[in-house]
Amino acid sequence: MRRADVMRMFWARRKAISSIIGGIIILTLFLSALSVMVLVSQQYDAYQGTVNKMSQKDIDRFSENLVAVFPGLAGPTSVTGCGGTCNQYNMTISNMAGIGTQITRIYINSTDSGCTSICVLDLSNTATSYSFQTSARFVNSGETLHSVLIWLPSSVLLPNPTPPSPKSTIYIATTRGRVFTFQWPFPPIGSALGGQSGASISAGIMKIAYQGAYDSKNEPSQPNNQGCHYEQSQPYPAPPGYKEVLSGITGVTGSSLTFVNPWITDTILQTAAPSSGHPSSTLYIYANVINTRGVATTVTGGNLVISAADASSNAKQYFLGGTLLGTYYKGTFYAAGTSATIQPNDNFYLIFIITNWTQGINAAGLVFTGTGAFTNRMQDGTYSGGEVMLDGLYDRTSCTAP
Amino acid sequence: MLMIAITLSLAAILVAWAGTSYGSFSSGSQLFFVQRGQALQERFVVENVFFNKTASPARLLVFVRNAGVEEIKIVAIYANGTVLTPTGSGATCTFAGSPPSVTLTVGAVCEFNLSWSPTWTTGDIFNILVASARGNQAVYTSRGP
Repeated sequence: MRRADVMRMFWARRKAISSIIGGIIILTLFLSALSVMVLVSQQYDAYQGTVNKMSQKDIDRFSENLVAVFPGLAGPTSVTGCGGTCNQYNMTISNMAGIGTQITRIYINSTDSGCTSICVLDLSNTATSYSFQTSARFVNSGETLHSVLIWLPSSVLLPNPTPPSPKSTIYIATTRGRVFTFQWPFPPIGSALGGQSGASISAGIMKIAYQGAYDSKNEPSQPNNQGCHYEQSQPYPAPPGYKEVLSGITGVTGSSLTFVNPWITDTILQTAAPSSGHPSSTLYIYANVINTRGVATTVTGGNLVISAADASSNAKQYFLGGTLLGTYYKGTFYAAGTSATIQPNDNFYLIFIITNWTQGINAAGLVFTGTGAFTNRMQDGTYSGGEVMLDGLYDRTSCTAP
Repeated sequence: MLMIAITLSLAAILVAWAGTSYGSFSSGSQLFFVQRGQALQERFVVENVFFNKTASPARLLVFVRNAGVEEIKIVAIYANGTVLTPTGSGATCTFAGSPPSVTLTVGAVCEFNLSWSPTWTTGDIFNILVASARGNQAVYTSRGP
């Protein structure tokens, strides 16, 4: 029997027609559902692919690890650009991750000067204001001591990194959305830098100023060429290598003192000593100090005892004694007896006026007593000894212009 | 014959219902996965916040970067739960349109200049939240200087 005859027979008998139609419908529904499920599965697969892709991007992102390398920033050096000259800093970083990184922007925020309103540095091929080197934006995985040149206008000078009290925060933003920061200058770690006294106040560099027959303000044109300080003058806070002018100081000639690097000729030293019979110059010494206590502190008084080497770098040839003239904090002078509240990690200057002087290695019994809570006792600061305190207060018999 | 007619009618209704249901389910899931995929590909970060206390009123500069692979719309910025609207000079991005928003293309960065009054006390904690139209958030916590 042919198939058409069978169908005709079923139709004629009216038997199982509904079942056949129902079966066809069920089959249609099943196939429709199946096709929809296939479609949804494809969409889900595509979505899952996106999930995986973004997960990998997140893994990459969190794998980034840029670390600043001491000293963080070096400079400034003056370079052509920025419509004249730029202050160029060299930032040194290392990529400690197993993945390459691309720097997209750098932010600098300073507390004292320079970038007090945040500096935003974008990419640039040449030295232009507020930019950094385009070619240095890629930092390969594992690359160490990667150098990035940063350009700021000549009018923007980041705070003096000496002493190492953090004054600027540098933010390095990457294209993957990570931001790495470091403080500059690097904060002291424990008591490693500058030492830490019992008062939790660490001393950094010292400088000297003198007024009278010789005046550090007039260097290098002192009478008889006795000065030999050739530093250029800059107001507080002056970068390293400059004469630093502190203004608003009471009790001194002209209300300002010009501090120079800590060496001095024998002639000036002797005229600064009352006992030498030549009290025609007054000698001042400042110690740059950091409050490392972690809490605000005040300095109400103090004194200074310091030894100095002679022209042959023989230690302890001179002993100088001074009392605290005052504190210089954030550009303001506070006379001894008044109190400036020094915030944690801030640096300030203790300015001493030299009142006693003696010569000779057997200067035993030289005692200066101060009034107040803080005594800053500094000894054996010799030129050749590499002491942390005063690196050299010595008799420089000859000097030449740099 | 009557049974056949009834069966065919029910079948037609069933097929119509199933088609509609499957269609809406399919398109709904497609829309869901596309939107979820786009939201998933959004990555934006608050790179930096600068507190300008000397301005009057005090201001917050919020730098937001689109670090993802999708264009995003920033629709709101909150600081400690308060909605702040970017205003003032210096801002590279301001809200526009209705509802107000800012579009950030891939890799772009916006500087939002936000007013904050009265000024903060040193040490105050700021929780800054940036919200996108797709429901993502970037959070930045900082202490006022």
